[in-house]
Amino acid sequence: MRRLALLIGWSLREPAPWRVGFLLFVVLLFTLVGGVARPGGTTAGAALAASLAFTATLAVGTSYPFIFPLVSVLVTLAIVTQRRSGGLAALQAQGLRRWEILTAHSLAVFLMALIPAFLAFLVLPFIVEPALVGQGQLGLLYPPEYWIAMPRLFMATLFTVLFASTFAILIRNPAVAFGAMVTFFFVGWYLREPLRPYGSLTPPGAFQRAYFYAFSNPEGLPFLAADFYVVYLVVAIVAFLLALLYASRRGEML
Amino acid sequence: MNLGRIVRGISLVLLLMTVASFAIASGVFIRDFSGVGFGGSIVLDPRATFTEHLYVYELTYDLGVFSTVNVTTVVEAAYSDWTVSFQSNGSLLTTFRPPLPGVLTLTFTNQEDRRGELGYNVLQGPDLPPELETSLLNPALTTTLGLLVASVVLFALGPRVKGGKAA
Repeated sequence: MRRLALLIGWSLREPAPWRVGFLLFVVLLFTLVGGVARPGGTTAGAALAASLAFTATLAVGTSYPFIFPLVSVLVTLAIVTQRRSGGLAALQAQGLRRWEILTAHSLAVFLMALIPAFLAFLVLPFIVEPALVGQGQLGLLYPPEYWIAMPRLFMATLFTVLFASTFAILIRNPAVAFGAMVTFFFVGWYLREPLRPYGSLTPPGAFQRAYFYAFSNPEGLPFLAADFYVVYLVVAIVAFLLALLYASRRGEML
Repeated sequence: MNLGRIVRGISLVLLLMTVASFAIASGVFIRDFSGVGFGGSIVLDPRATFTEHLYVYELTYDLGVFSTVNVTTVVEAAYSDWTVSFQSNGSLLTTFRPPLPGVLTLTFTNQEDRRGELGYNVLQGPDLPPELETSLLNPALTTTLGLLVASVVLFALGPRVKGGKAA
């Protein structure tokens, strides 16, 4: 674990990916502010809480087409390009194992996407209700519903990072790897509309509905659509582990 | 002078310009496509009050109130002192612009001793003429894309350029 943490620290010290992270922060903030949901609730406090929570929930769907290309760029820079330039081989020469290097780079990318997303969520309430900032009532700006809604986007980000890393590990050519991961995510995105009302079974739809049982279940489904995100997370984890296993067995991988 | 460093600096400036240009395009997005408005219709008992909450940006909103009785409409910011009120006994079409974005409370009160019907609508009105906003959208997005491509290309070229000569 100490070696993994050390490797993640090294990756996070690279300035170039943080520029992509900054872009992700800006895009997410615009997406969130531009899509503040109309609140429901009998009191102003409940209305604000519902508005923030619903905005954070809907943000999964609206920001997904921005998140996956940027995550794909980060993963390509962190794994495929590094492998080509000999960066990963240099780390291997330091005595680090292949699975440690690849896992650390993937987790570092996840943090580089997670931190800007989290910061965007922290900034949003200040823009949504600036009057409360002047009154110093910061507690009202961060209701429990808002914190509960946030992880949907983080899980969607984890899903994209794991799948993008799988492609990056298996495909050695940067252009082909980037093309493959972006195409894969685009398919999930574009299937939402033609699959209606089963669009909630695509990755962006599933993570938007994650543990949100207030949405009505699509007719004829033998399971709850609100639980379907678990399938995607498990599949992404399994795919990533299989890719790691493949990379560890293949000697010339790095 | 390290030319590579200058190229990387220019790529960062272009990235910041990209973000600024995208901010302009996003503003056009917000005004053109979001917050198209909402409304409803209810039956108001004598002297009864109906309350609705809505989230607003700092923009001009069109308010329409249509009733069969004399109705008082109060629009107030939930977390500041800003309030406007209107009285109508038929059709009322007006506009309001909150000083800050935030949650607003709309309160309709039936001023008569008989039941009445009420229909209301709140629409987000553009501050600029819609045609101008729409005409801004494509140039802003094209500029954003061009700047982003230029920034990425320069960023990729940066490490290859050293001291004025390609490495």
